[in-house]
Amino acid sequence: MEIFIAQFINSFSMGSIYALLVIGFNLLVLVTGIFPYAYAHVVVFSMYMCWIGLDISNNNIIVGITFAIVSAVALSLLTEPLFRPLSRRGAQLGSFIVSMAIGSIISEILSRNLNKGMGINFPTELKGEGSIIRFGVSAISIGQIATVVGSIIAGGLFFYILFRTKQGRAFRAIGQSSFNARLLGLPIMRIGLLVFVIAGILGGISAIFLSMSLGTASASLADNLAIKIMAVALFSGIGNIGGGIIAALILGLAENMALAYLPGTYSQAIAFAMIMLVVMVKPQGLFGTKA
Amino acid sequence: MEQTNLLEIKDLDVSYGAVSALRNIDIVINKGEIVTLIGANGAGKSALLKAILGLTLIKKGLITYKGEDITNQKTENIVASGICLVPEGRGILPLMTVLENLQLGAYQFHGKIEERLEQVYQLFPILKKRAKQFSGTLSGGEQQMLSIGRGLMSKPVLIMLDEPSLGLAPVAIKELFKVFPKLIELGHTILLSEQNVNMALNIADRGYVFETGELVAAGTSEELKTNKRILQSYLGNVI
Repeated sequence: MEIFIAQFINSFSMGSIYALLVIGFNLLVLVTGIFPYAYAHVVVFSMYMCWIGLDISNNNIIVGITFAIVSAVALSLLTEPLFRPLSRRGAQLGSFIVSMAIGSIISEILSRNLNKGMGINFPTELKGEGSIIRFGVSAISIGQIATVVGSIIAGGLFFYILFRTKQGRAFRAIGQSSFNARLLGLPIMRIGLLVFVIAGILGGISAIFLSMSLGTASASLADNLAIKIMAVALFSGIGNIGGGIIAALILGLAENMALAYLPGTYSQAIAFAMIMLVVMVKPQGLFGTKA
Repeated sequence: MEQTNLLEIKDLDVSYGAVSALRNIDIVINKGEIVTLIGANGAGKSALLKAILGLTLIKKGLITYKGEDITNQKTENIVASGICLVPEGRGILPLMTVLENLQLGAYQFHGKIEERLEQVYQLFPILKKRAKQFSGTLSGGEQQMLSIGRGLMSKPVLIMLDEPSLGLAPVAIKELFKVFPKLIELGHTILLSEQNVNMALNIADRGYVFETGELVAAGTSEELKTNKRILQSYLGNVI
């Protein structure tokens, strides 16, 4: 029973990270119409930058966080011009290809030029494993609690922006009809840039939580995450931000339960199974697509 | 000499790819007028409104607004400078509330939104009543009012309307057209594209007649009402 509870909380921790990632992913889909496969790669790159920041500052967390967020936003903005013409033409498939190309470039850099191609390990203090709350046989770390709480705060802030601010209204308007949004005088290109920035910030925050939760990163993590994010987004309905969060939590739960009770690392298989199921039964996604 | 010339279009050509939508269009709109564009479906009226708003690439011709050249300017700048389009089919965002739609209309407005909202609610009290409802649940007539209200939120100088009577019941159309003189009183200028020639000529000061992308007639409403060609083509030769 305690294992179940521990795994449940563990699932929430991973699930909330997936949720943050899917929020960023779906935001890009909703407003710019592109399919940002390489969003995960930007996040993992940001993890590496966080690691470098910690390395050169003797494990100063503030430096690590700053490196993570700044690098994610910078890389995000760097790729924006590549997507702009595709976004304008509504070429979603084309953007998928471009994004995969960007992803493989980032993977190459990670597996060759950073840390001599080896994976990175984060200091255990970061994981917060030192401070563990035990109950019975199982335990949850402060890191996991921080992840869940932090994700809820970040997610909550994001939803506040989306539903209670002028810019958020603009995002939703463009998502529903870019033609009518343009008619209203909304500066589509400038708003597109803003969205890349916000996605970058969310990505940087996700990178920090991933560093805390997983404790390691490697080039293969990027492709692994990319497929999971895709699974969650397609499962819930691409562009559907609220649905994505629910699906992310489901994936977190399914993965961890599988890990606890099935042999081997079935996590990627679970993700694929989710995509397959939905594509066959309800292609618009469980909660309906908004893009 | 006082500048009454608000919008002037000279020798405009608009094409959608290889298809020519407008040829040699000359139009003048003065401050405080209601000018109507009449013509059948596909005659080019919508194309003209979209061209003014910068939604289509103009390869030949000149559009000046308040004396400045706005040909091929970005839509967001044109809207910011005081021109709005109430599009064909209303163009409201159904998954957002009435209030949110109105707030979006004020994106380019840098004054007090509450004042604009008050004025729109005064003109269209039903919108205040339905403020928190999703706009997709409104009736056709109410959606049209919302679309106009939304356009008004940015305090535009020139309001362009593309077929506002389309799909509306006669009663709703009558109610709608009663608003136009009020808008003129408030200081706006109206450019109205309409298939309902009767109602259009009754409310407008002047009109331009379009046929397959070209101007075939122009004049005051009175002149157009007695124009033989128009009588035959659009008013069913009743007289």
